[in-house]
Amino acid sequence: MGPEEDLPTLISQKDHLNVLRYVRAHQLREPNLVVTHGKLLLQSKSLGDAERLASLEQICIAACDIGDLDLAESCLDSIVNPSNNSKSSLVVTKESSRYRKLLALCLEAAGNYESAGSVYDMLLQDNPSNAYAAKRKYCILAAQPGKETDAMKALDEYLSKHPGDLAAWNQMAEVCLSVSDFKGAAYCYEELVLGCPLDTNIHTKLGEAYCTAGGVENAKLARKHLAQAVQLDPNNLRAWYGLVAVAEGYLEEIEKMSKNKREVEEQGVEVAKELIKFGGEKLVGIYKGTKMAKVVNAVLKESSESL
Amino acid sequence: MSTTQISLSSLAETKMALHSAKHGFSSPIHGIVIGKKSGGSDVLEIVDTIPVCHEVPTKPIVDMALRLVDAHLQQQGGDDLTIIGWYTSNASTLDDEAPNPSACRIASSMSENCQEGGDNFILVMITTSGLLAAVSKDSDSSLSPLCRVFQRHANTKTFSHEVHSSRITQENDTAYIISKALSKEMPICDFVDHISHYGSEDWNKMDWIKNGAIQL
Repeated sequence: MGPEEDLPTLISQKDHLNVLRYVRAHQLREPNLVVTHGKLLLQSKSLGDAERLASLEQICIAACDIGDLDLAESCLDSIVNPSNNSKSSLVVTKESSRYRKLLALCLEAAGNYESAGSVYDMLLQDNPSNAYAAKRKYCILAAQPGKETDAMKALDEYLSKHPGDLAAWNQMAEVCLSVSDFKGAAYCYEELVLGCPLDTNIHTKLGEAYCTAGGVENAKLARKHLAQAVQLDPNNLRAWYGLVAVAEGYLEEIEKMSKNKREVEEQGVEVAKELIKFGGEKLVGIYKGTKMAKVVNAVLKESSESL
Repeated sequence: MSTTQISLSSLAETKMALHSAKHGFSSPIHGIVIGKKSGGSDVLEIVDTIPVCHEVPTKPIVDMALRLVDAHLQQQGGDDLTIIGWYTSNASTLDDEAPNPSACRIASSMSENCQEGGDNFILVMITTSGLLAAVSKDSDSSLSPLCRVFQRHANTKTFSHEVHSSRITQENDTAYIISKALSKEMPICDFVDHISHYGSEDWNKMDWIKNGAIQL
């Protein structure tokens, strides 16, 4: 598979092996594609051992993703019990931790959380710093409605032991958002920003979380991060909308303050007004000639008139 | 608490079903409900819906979407359509109990800014059981309705008062129309899709306001 191969080409060529490899290499989540091509691939006999096992693992996970538990089970089976035809030199036993991870995943997919939990517990006993097992334990709680507080506690515990796990911080941010804890979500996004300071999308989400949390100080922080987001990527349309929205949100917060306190924020007000004009012009420019132009112009005209 | 009848158009239900089916496996969905109060008769007509996002909505997203839709409705003129509600579906497919708190919060603040006092403002929730019933064509759709409608409780002002199914009417053949749309996998695009894909070739076609690709 060379660098000039792209997924649609591989699919049309019915190159099942390379479709699966492509999905694996680019870490795409395409379970339907994997299952379709995987099933056809497994029928071919000319598959090497390593490729066979890697593909079986990938197909098993994809099958769990789309709920095809029969396929998942048969993949698990094929991993430990290779068919008699192939003289496999790679033998996988049921004690293998990689196999056990897959087994637990299938148990989770089947809703058998107790058994899945005990497999992860065993994995953690063997290796207490097994981050994957710890995360899956959180996922088991998160999958069950009504266990949100337990899930949050589990994730909190995980984060205190693995504070560098940015994916976990992202998950925590989403959990905070779902319970309307916007300050908490902002805290999590701050951790993400520490890890990825040049990611425009994280700055955007952080700004949005601060804006939703409310208050003058948060509004100022929101402004700062959305401004950073558009600077990092002038094509981030979401950030441009956000910039106008948070600048207006800031002005709204100022309106709520008493007259004396407002004087302190005079410069901030000037900045916010400039941002609204700047963002507005950019948005009008982006939509010029498109179907939505009239609607966008109307909204932004309203913004600038109220300044 | 109002005692109006609520009528759901197939178009509105189909769009909500498509939006939910596209994202419902692990994300909440949110959108705007458009309709009108039929002049003489005491009927609240849900005519159309506009999908907004498939994540927990933040203030900038909600504010911008509402303002853009408002401007669109004003420019369209004619039918007297206004924003009459908000729709949502919960993140977890197992949770059909009550609308998620962010949706309730949004509905509350929108109803307060409503012109006629917000008693008629509705919060529609798409249920997973309803979606499943719509997909499996043989079941009786009245057992698992696709949409549950909530209005503002007179005392607590929260959106916990469920409108009884006897007050809700659907168009004929809605179940058939929805299952056909779902099986055809008609494309639907929400506000967040639109703003996230700026720069891609299809951006101009992402018409989240009208979603013209959805033909019944």
